[in-house]
Amino acid sequence: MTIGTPLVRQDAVGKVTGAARFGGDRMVDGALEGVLVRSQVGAGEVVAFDVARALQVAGVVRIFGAGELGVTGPLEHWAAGQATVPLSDHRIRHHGQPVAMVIADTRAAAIEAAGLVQVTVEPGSVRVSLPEFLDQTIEIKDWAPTHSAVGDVAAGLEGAVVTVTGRYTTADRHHLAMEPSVVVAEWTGGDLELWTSTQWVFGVRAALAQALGVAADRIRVRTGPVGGGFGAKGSTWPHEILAAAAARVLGRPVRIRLSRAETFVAHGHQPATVQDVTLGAAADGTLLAIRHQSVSAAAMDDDYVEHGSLGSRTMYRCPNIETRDRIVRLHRPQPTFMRAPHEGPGMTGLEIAMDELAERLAIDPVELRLRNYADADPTSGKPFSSKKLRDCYTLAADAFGWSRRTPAVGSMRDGPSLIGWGMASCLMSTFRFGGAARIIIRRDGSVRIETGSHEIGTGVSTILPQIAADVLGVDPARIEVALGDTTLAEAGGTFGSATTIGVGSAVHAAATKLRASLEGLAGEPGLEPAEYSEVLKLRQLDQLAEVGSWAPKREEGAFAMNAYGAVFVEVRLDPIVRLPRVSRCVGAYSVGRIINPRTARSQAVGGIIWGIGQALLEESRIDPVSGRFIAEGFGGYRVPCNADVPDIEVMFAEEFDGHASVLGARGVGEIGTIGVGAAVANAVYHATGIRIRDVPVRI
Amino acid sequence: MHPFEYRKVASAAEAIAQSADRRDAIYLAGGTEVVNWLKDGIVTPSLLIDLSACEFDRVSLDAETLSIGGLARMATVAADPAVQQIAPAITQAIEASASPAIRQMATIAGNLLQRTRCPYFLGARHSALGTRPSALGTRPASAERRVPSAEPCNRRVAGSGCGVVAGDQVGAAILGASPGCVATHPSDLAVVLAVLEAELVVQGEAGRRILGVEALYPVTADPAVENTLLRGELITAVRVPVGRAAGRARYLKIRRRASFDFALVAAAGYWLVEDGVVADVRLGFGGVAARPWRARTAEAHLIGRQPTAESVARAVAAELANAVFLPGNRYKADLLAAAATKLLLDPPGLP
Repeated sequence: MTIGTPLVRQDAVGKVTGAARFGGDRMVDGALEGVLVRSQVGAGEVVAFDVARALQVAGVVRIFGAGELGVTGPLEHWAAGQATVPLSDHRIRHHGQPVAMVIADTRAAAIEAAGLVQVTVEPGSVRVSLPEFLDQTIEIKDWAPTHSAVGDVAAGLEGAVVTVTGRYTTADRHHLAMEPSVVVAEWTGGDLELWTSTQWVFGVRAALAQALGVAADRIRVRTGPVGGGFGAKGSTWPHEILAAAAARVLGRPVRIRLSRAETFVAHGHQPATVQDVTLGAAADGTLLAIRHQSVSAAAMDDDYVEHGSLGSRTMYRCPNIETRDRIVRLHRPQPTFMRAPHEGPGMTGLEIAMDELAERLAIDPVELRLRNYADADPTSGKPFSSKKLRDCYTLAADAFGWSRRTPAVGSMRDGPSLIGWGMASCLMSTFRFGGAARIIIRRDGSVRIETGSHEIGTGVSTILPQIAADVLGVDPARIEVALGDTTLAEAGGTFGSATTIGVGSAVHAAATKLRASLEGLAGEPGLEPAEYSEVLKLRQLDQLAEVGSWAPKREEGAFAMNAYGAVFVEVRLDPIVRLPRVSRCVGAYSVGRIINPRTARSQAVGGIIWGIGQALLEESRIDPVSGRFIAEGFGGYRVPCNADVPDIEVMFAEEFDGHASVLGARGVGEIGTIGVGAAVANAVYHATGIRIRDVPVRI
Repeated sequence: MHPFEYRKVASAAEAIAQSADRRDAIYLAGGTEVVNWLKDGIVTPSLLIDLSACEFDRVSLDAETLSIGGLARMATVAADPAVQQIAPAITQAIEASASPAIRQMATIAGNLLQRTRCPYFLGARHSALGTRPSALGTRPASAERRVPSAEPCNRRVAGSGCGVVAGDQVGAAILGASPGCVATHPSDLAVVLAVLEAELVVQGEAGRRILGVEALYPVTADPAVENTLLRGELITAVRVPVGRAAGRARYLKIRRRASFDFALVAAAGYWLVEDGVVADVRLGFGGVAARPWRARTAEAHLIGRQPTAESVARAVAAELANAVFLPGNRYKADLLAAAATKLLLDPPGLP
């Protein structure tokens, strides 16, 4: 069995030695460089261009304004990060929106010329601030229901002995992947090959097909190792469309490299949320009512809903639950999924409210959660596919030493330092995408897996061989993996913590078929792996390939599927300065079977660090006048550095979820980020008595 | 592209001579600031004079003075035994600055000559700076350079206004600001040097002069004047008086991130308590003004008082009597009082 062993990442050495070739390392002969001229007003209309001086810059080939690229919107495919296509009309919808594109022989020339393009704008009135427009929320149709209701919340609250109600907020956040996106588009006749840094090559192909009016089978999309995505590269964004369109018009390859500053406007962010949560409970802590209404900041003409209330539909047993997710349209770039979408911001509100309820009732926060433990989804009524959250509470609480917590505010100290202990439940909806994989065994016994999935740093290229090795009985070191190409078997996007389930299961299916075929060739079952080469030789085959696929089954829709967890944190504050730092963290997770404990642990630890960012540091501040996200770099946007990261211990509940996937696995990529914001806020309350309802914490 | 000439010089005298006939020349030392300015279009010199081969990079000590070369690397200075023994707050301030990698490159003089990290000064750093409606159409066709800042900033474009006033105010100054500029100075070291009453040795065309470190910065924030150096002048050394202040002062930096972050506020100083009252005190603040802020009002307030948190709070309140707050930076008053209290009552230990 190689599943369950902590194999070292297949891509580790290349990445730490610099041998890994990222998109920006690709040199394409004759490629032109595109630089986007971006609006520096938040709203308005482009009324005139003057490109005369820009065209004088040596090396400038062409300057495109609106309507000159043969691209149109709106894009309907969900792979498009936004429906609107820049440069297809003259309207300015947000600061940073492309209003022109300079193409030149060199990037330096393009940048210089871009600075000389004179754009005359009729500015419109700009609306930016979410708090200011909270009276203008709207509900839109989205991939998930934007509201839910079971029972009668008003009646539940009437019967409640204790009611907690509060407004909770989360900040705008940016993904800040280390690798800014690079795209290179090259046409050969009517065929497009596009290299881009993406988490979903097939999604880019689908969105490009619509934007360009080209059949999908004339488009090949490829990606190398992705230098971090976190959702920002999960969808197709304007720079990818514009590079392809410009290359088509000019008949030459076009490359667009986003600058660090552009990553703040070019491919989404996690929008700020304002959440109103009301909980009603009986004296023993039994929840009688949950109401969770979340509002997220949205773009003017593009739809993205941060489903902040999603987790509250499922987390606790309660007869009366009402949730609603609304948006406010503002002059902001289009938001998008960011690790972890929906429950990432949303569980913050619910789990701080639960802490408030525990305090009001004088019930231990873990005990309150156990008393409201859901054995079936309280909104849909469906049973859970598998849920080991009780184990998580126990594992993490024991490892953390929770029983030593004294509940009184400010009661725990280490010398003069104030200490607070807080915890939260974690829950994330499980996403499952169908996928396929091809697997090839060669006469020398080596194996190759081919699938249009992606290595975004999570360990995909390490666990796929483990899965195949388990079926075939071969050494995973003899299994190579080809990813990131639409000429390979189709796979879903590498996001939503869904790749192990979808692509992993497809590899399992392919390997199973291959083994059966080998046994068929041998004419006997129970073939030894050492005999594979012999069988191929005997049948005079150089290699043998099989394609396997996997898709969620209809009958599995009878189950509610989620990742679960419990996270415990300790914060310390100097009693005078009172700036919280996380000093210890323990998380335990129920995510199904663990394929590789090393990469799984890495995902969970990375997730917790990401959550510490949400809890204490990350907020993308926006200029209320222009709508500019003002950070524009690592200097202005704080993510945790090593000194912010304490000892982190993670554990996984023993589990096999046969309903979620053939492997028994669910997703592990994002659950670690969830709950940390609330746990830290609750710990700060425990230390100081200051109730934190806004993250990042500011006291 | 902004083409510029690059010359490497071997001495301060040569550097000064080179800059004399090129009005827009600038000096390059560690490069951790200047290179960013060049990339962001904040400066557009025609000549870059590289000082890295010059030799005013030594630390020396005599009975009265600790002398630190202007070109000394921050990491070198922080690790210097004489610095640690004579003026440990310098080591504290440097180790609280930037990151280890940057401290290996950055120089002492360069640290003092940093420019603000105000997000309006840094402006829109998109790869292309194109549309700026207020200037569009009205911009003279003869303008040589692209619009250097998307947003109002009097430091970037004289007379363009200050974006902070109607914008994001969380980092804005509360002391010594002018209506046209509420930027803060980012240096940690400068705060300590102000408290230690260090002097700068400055060399220029007119020869050598000595400047108190506080005199390097305008008294009131002036968007047109980053510092009081004359064109072509170099800071060749920082001189720290050996004595009680240098020996006792400590530095406390309050920042959101535990490392690699600028100060929300900072405090430097010490007090000496005799017969139960404050007999001697020095106090300076960072993160509150476009200069290191020597809190002389607070110092005067503390002399003769009991060394308590209440005394410190009152002293800081007195210092802030003339502070001007914006809605977004009011938090700095309480945080500053906390920093000063912590510094004086429970000073950070030495490594």
